[in-house]
Amino acid sequence: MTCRDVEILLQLAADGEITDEERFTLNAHLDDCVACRRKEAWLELLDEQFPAALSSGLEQSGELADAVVEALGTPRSVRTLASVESSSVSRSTAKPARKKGLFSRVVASLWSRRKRKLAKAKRAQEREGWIDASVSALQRTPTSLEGFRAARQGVSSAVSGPMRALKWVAGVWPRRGR
Amino acid sequence: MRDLSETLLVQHCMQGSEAAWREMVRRFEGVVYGVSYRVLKDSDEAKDAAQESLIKALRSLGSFETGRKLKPWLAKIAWNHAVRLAAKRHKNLVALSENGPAGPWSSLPDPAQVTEHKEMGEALRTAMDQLPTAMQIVLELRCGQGMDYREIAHATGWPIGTVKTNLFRARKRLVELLATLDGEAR
Repeated sequence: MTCRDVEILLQLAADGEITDEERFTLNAHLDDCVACRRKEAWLELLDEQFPAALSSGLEQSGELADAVVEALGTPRSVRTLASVESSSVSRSTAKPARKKGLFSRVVASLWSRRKRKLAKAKRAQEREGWIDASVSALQRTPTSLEGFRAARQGVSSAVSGPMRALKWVAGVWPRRGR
Repeated sequence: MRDLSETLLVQHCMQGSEAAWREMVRRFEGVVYGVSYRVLKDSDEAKDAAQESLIKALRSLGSFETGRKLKPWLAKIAWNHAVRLAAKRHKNLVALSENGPAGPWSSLPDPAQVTEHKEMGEALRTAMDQLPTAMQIVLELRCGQGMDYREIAHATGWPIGTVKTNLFRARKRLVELLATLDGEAR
């Protein structure tokens, strides 16, 4: 083990993070190395002096507690601070409901009109779907009599629903017995 | 209140008990102020920052995970708040190597031969102030507040390896500074 490795173990020892095995290795090295014993002495000195050096600066006078309590407001026995906080935020940020102005109403009206127009166009597109279906069925070239019949059947099935509706409106369907 | 466990203290604080708030401040103002001071380098600014951090912490106790320790959680809040304030004031925080790499320990004098140990506290404080912020923070949390590596990593957001490295370099640098200060004093 090198002195460099021991530096790391010394630090782990100072922080209370050293294992028993590492402690044994460290002690074995320290017995033979003056330089590392000096490092250990410095680290011990630092640990001894740190509390005094770091604790000064803030006196526990209760001044900070007074300021914190004052900022948090009157204590409440039931509601949690989180709810107090959220309610205070919602109070401060929530906007009161107010009557819509002329501009808002015009925009809303235009928007709803646009939505109605779009819905109407969609319905029209769906209605015209059967035309596309019938055209594609007609475009299929029959290669035989069976194919021709199948194509005709496709056209008639695609057309039959809407055509029947039109005929019904025109009064020519259902056919009366001759 | 003084004997209350952390879990119960949190519950009382959330129920709005003023006594619990005061106890919370009493127990943890040291760590919150310590972190703020190490970042902001000014006592008055650090007191203001500590107050703001404690208020923020008490207001967000709902997000505190029960079963964890309060000190790292509060240190994290204080650290984040102080870093934000320091960034606004354009203070340099992360100059880890501004003093160059630490020299070999073998060149240091024997600690038994340095100035009287009772004068060491003042010298240590002076030497601490000369360290880069990151080193001051890890020393403050480890040696001043007794937090372990994992808790420091949680508070600062650094990996544990970074915490160890900073701590290692900080101690080494501190010893060098102390030796230098002692030499100048003679």
